[in-house]
Amino acid sequence: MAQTPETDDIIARCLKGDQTGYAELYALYAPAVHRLCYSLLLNRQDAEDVVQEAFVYAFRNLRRFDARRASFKTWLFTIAISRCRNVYRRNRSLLTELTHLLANTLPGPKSERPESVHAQESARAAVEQALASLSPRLREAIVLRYGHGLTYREMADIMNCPPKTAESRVRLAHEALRGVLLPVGPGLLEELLMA
Amino acid sequence: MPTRPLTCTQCQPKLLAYVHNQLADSDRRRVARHLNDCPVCYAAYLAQREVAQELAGTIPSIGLPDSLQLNRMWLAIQSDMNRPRTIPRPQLARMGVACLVFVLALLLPWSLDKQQVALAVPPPPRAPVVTASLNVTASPESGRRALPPTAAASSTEAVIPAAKTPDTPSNVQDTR
Repeated sequence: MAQTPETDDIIARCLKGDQTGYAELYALYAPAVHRLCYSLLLNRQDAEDVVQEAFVYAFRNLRRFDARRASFKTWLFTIAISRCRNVYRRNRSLLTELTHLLANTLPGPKSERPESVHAQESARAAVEQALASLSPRLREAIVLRYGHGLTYREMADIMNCPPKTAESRVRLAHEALRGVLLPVGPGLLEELLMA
Repeated sequence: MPTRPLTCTQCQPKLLAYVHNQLADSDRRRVARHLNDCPVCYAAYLAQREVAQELAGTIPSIGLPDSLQLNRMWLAIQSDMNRPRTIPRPQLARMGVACLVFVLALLLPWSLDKQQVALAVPPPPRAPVVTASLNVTASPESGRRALPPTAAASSTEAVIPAAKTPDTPSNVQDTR
């Protein structure tokens, strides 16, 4: 994962004691970390807690970050995933109710047509429900791949496994999701394309 | 050197990596060549691509935080950062358990050694048996009567002096 020069500069400023640097790092990476945590935990409160913990840990241990070994995003994602795994262990009953999931989805842009918004909401709800049916490890793989566009090697670094394992997890998750989504998938896709 | 063409069994596990553009160039070319020739694998590829497109279009929109959420989390992070660092209670408990295990591990070999020494020390002779052997030395006849056969057989220590006498009972000699 390419590290932007901007991130390097901000980290250097943070390490020199510039407090505004932390806010900039947060603004740059918080949305992605929140998306990751929410997609894995499928619970808004848990996701917020993990994002907070991950950033506090990262900021307090910023000196330990080694840009030669991984990008800041990879490092942050590794921290976040490790905390998400703690939440899985704490809360085994991860299968959230669909009603809860629907209540947590965010509204789309107001300019969109209602039917298009409805179709997107339905597609998102279906995918969220399908994600909830996966095991945590497979969910991590599919979210890192599709939610964040990571390569198999980057995923392997974050999930702490060989790249071949990351690849096979994506494949297994894909097959499982295909089975779940096929009854509604093509229809929804068509609806989205028509909208 | 020309590479061997892929079979369907070899091609299908590579299809998703092909869709994700994660194959090495040589593998990519082999898969592409196979897809050109095999309608079954091509259909499988199209199905994989369709699901991949749907997931790629939907998953990034899951869990997008709004500005209120981001602000709330930032305030919580700032408050956490300003709080002095303390060792959390579960960590303290874990450290306590670790100390206890360490102390037990130190004490265990010592207590085992002590037990071995206790086992190695021979048991002291029993007072009534000694009395009986004395009786045997004094008078073999009366000794035979005073010392019951079971007690004589069970205690080697007790009969040693009696063995020196000329008419020691045979059962006592056996026990030596």
